[in-house]
Amino acid sequence: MASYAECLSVLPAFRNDLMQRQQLEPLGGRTPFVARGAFAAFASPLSNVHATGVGIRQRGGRYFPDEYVLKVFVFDKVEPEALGEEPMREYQGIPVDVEQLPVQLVRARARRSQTVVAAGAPLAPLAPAATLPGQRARHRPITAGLSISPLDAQFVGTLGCFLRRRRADEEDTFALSNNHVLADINQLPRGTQIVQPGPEQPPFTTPVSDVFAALSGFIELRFPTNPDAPAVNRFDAAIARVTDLRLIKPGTMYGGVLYRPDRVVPPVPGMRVVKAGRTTGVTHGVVTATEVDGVQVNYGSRQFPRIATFDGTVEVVSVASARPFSLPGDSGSVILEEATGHPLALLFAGDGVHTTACDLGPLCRRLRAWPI
Amino acid sequence: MAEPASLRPPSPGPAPSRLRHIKSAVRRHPSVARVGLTTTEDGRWALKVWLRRGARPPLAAGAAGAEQEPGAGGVEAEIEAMTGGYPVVYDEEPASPPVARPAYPGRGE
Repeated sequence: MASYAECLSVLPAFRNDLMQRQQLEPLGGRTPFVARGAFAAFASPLSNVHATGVGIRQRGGRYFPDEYVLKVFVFDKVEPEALGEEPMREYQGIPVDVEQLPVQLVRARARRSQTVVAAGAPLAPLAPAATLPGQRARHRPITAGLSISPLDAQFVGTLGCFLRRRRADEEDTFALSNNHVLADINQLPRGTQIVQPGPEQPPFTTPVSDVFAALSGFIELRFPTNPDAPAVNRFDAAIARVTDLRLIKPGTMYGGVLYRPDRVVPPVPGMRVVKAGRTTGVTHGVVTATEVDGVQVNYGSRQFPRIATFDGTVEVVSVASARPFSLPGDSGSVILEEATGHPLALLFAGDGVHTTACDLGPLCRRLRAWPI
Repeated sequence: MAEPASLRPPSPGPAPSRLRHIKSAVRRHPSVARVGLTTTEDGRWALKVWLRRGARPPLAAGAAGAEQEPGAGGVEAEIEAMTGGYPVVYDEEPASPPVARPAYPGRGE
């Protein structure tokens, strides 16, 4: 029998896996509130699931206070026989209990026309300039780990990866990076065009022909307005909707890095990691701390600091003492577990030795979009 | 000194939820700038505590990054009284905070 603490400890990974699997459900004219897959939390379509947590076992209409379980709440419950699949009863040794928690039916929005991703490049790739590192050059198709910026900006960051969001029978694809890259610290409006590459070469301009996405949203960065009202952040993140799927190539990280986006893993101290970024390229590091609270990050300059506080961050240091894991311009890189290629964190700050990143699992849950 | 981070063993499993509760309490200590979770050289879960600059006496400050011996005095003793036996890895708050900014190619970056 699992303890409450044991259930809590596996809950983040359970949520990551569950929500990521929801994204893999086939589209096809169903609403998210149609009853299906209720007992088979993992084994069949999951759109029926709307909440997860830790709770106590419910069996035959009775609750058992000593039996802690992972809870999956569904709109409607279906008998296992109707699914024709073996229901999932436990996760990492912790029992899973499915409970009905119905809500009113909601009409699904009209299906949006979808564009199929083409593997081929619609535009001829341009050769990188001789002196320019490859990740700063123009690439078609566009992959994760490359230079990006808003149109007409003077600065550059990194395209972390592509995300997919499925709701009802809609599907959207986004480029993920930081708020301070795609939205210039809360300043740019939705719809701002995003280009690949950023303004990397003289005259440091960005042609409209390099647009591949439009800013869709960002998680607002909060700065303290007075000492008695501390503002705490968890994420420096923004997403831009890809406007032409033929321009991109999901599932690939620049620099030949092993990238397997089918699973987002929680960061663990001691984990060896790798990232591909615009400034330092492919670098290797190790997670030294997780769930770090109280990190003060400067969004201004040394002379005019603008400090934001973050909780729940991940700290990474380079494994090569002479080479930093990240530098300015690597902002927005997605950090991967070296052994598996699974993504785990979104890089957003550093001091030349230590790199600070957001935990990717909670971020994806908040965005309701998952790496592809 | 602490072993280089790259040589640390993998963690022994999910972090205990009790350690997270302790972390929340330690964060409220006035000498603590940041607090997170880490593992010791032998793979045990531990708290990582960044002390505010000047919170330690100068002699103790030389041991930044090391796992503190039990029974150490001052700030460490106060913190360890809260940690219920979990190891604590100390570090000092950086002189300047990490910076979040893009690169400016026009400035040669």
